[in-house]
Amino acid sequence: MAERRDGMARLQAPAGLLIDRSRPLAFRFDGANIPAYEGDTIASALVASGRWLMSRSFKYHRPRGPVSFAGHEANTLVQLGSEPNVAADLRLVTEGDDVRPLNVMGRLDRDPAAVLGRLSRFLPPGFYYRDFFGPGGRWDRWERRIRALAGLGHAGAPAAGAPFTQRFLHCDVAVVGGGPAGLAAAAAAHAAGADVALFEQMPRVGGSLLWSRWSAQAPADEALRARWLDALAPPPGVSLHTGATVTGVFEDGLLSVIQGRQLIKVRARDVVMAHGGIEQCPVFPNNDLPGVVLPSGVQRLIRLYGIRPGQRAVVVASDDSAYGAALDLLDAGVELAALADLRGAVAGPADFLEALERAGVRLLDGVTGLRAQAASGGLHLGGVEFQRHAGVRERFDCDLLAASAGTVPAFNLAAQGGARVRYEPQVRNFVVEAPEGALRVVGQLAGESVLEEAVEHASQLGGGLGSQRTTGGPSHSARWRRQPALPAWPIFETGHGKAFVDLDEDLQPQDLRETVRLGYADMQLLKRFSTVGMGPTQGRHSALATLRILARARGSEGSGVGVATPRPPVGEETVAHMATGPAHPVRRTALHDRHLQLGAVMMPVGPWLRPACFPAGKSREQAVADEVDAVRQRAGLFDVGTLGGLRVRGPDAALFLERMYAGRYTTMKPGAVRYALMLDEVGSVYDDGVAACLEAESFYVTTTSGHSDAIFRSMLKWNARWGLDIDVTNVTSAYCGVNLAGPASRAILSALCPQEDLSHAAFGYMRARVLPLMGTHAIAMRVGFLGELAYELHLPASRALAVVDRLLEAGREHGLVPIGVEAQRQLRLEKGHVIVGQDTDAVSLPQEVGLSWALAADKPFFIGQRALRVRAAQPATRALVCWQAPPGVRWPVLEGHLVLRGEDIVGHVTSVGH
Amino acid sequence: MKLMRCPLNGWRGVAEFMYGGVVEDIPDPDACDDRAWSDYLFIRENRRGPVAEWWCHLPSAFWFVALRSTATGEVLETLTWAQWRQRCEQGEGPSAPVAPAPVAPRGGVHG
Repeated sequence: MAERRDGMARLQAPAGLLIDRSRPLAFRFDGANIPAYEGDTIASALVASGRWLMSRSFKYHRPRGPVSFAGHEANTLVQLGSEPNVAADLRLVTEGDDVRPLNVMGRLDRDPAAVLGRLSRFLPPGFYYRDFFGPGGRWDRWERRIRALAGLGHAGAPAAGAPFTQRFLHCDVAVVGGGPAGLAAAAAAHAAGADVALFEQMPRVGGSLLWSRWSAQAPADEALRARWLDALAPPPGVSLHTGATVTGVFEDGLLSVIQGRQLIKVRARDVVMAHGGIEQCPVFPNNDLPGVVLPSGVQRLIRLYGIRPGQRAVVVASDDSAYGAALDLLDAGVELAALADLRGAVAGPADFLEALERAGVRLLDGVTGLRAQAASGGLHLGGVEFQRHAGVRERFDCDLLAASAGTVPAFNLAAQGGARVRYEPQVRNFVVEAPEGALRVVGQLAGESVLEEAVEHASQLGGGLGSQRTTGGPSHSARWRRQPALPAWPIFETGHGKAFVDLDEDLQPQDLRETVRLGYADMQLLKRFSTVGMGPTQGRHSALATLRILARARGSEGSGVGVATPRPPVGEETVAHMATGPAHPVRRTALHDRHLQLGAVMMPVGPWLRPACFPAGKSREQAVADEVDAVRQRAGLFDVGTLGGLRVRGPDAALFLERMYAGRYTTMKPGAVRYALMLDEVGSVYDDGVAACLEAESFYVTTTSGHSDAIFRSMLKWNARWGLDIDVTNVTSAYCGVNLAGPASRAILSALCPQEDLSHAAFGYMRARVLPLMGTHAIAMRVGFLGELAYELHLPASRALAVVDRLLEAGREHGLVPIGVEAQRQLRLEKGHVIVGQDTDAVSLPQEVGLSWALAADKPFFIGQRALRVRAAQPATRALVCWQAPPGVRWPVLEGHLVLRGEDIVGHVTSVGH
Repeated sequence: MKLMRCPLNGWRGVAEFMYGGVVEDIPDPDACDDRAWSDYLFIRENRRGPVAEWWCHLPSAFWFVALRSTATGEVLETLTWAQWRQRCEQGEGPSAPVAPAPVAPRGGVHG
């Protein structure tokens, strides 16, 4: 029945559901060329080529191979190009992939570090804590070497290809898992009118329907499978996402889903968890040898990838499904040496048993010992030895051992969503119970053990999840009571060889007992000290065995032991996925591109980019000096589009400003501009700007560049309490502004609006008016931050560039130049203006920085007033003063320099001008 | 990410909201002594259980009051300031709140 191509042992259809035999591919693994078909995973293609060895273990560098073919174990993590820690049994092969094994020194098949296994008694649990930390710890010296031995992959820049992206998906019902229960729930919820999205990790939905065994007769089995898949085919209206791993379940129905290079944030009203179970491997010596697999892994290999997994096999069963795997092996042409049942007696389905007996398979019961042995070379399974009651030993040569200790619900994800997970002694298994709320569990996860019942119940539950929030369908709690109990103690430690509980961390039962002996007899502590369950698989294969060992060590039955808290992510998430999140945008003014054209050097100021200066071939110092000179002698144009702009309107607008700001505003008439100083509640200087009264009950208030959003919010927050009759609009982005400063500024501005009288008498200092300019309008204010004569023009952002270009053109004959932040700082320093945040800090009082004049202290209330009263009564300790560096100082005085008197710091420099 | 119901905009992801501190009882700035005012500024009760908090829906800059359990993180209820004031005056509410005095700076509303 098997055909061979380039050493590959492939079966004929219908085996190989996921592969396309007409599309051969090739990739490289550890330097060798490996053939594959489209649809193969890296692991399936390697096994098809007879390569089971995929990695070395974390601690002892033992040879490891695939077990589940479902992404459950860490054995299959490989380096794919620059991408580390790729699950080889989930990642599909693409042509030319360069795959390398992880954690290998030298060659995968001859790793000198494997000698570590012989030193295991010197590497007890807590080895690092006990030997490297504390007084005289040696960690510093050894860290690099240990990391080289125990490291996982190497992260490189993401390979070329589609960019990593993120998107949101909203739905009524999200179904996690596309197995029979998930499909049934999705279809029923869809029929009830819900908007349903279903997420399945594999490339095709069906779950266990794709690979489980239903009938002893192969043709009948295929017919049953086809009938089920047909009955549960998702209706077209369900939004299907295959190859999509749900990695986290968060509050209020939020799921994180990784699908290739996309992170999907799913928000669902209801979440149906249907992600099934995780088959467990018994603990026995050498249970980590390549060739020791799970029965479900064997079935996936045969059905999904069409691979005959070995020549001669032994099956160890703990439930009925392993009998199906045994039949699948026979049908695939594998010689089946024996089947042993760990439940004490041979107890499979009658027709399965009959078929196995007819095939002459040895059926073993009463197993008390189990041990795997390596073939010569030590890299693959060579045989299995059983101990049975009455001390009988039996050994079978084999290159495949499909061993199961039963299946536990895949509780990690459900627990994150709030489901309760506990150990139930009656069935010797974990039980997952959905919490009240939006999370529901169905199928094997909910303890269902009979397909027909699981589908029926999931369908009823889904039918209750219509388009509106409802209570959901009937709850089928306590389904676990119908489950067959798992074997009591599938842990065998007799005989030579290491028996592993946790393959990620190379932990054996004695490591856990030693940890308990040291006093860590609590599941959470046991986990942290021994690191059990802390590897990439997060205890998927070790949680139940760990619980059993801990319970026995504590002399309990296990019900009080619990599980360690599962946390997201359940699958791989790369930094590149995380980096797709919202970035912090850089804000640009409407004049940004013009600045660049004019040769500006840009600098970040808060969230904004502003021109620092316009060198145009000159040195920076010279450029700044020239810009300063232009403002003094002629004119300069400075982009103030970064200033916050707030419109405050309404009958109470002036009163509102009087409460928010320290000055007096109720006496302002239209056309007036006043300085606006804002304090925080502790009376420190917080922000400043100007308030222009444009017309009755209407003000335009500016804020500093970084504070517009915060001040806008603060205004609305205070007024939520005050309830004053006002409206505040944040027009920061709607307006762009320029400051036109210098002796020639009036003449330049007049050129744009010759009909307007801009004389001092008509448009005096600290006056504002709405100026018609080039078919638009400017809020024009005569303020003097930079020069004796200066106009600040706040223009609708969409028209700002046209006006600025016209100003530059009109200003050419007057020597107008654009100026940057550095010239602005110099000019305002000459005028003695403080910059809030540069010349002030979090405790600066207005009187310390020369702003007492801006306080209307006799007002009934303003923010900071009460604290100011307290602080004014305390002795003054600081003052902003102007001083000149004494002649002969050879080093430059810079902002931030400390001022010393003897050894004592008595001040610091806030602003410097030369 | 949690969802929160803004009284103005309905259910939104919590990333759209900003926390604005506990709803404080503001003493009368003219009647209280310095100690009472500095307690208002600097001392926080850090209560476990239902607490009335200021939250702002950022895209609309709408401030409202959320009753949130600091023990569980659960948002129990969201109210406009007016609704919250009414609740306080009626002495109702799950947190049995101390009614925050309306900040009543002299000068009041026009008229």
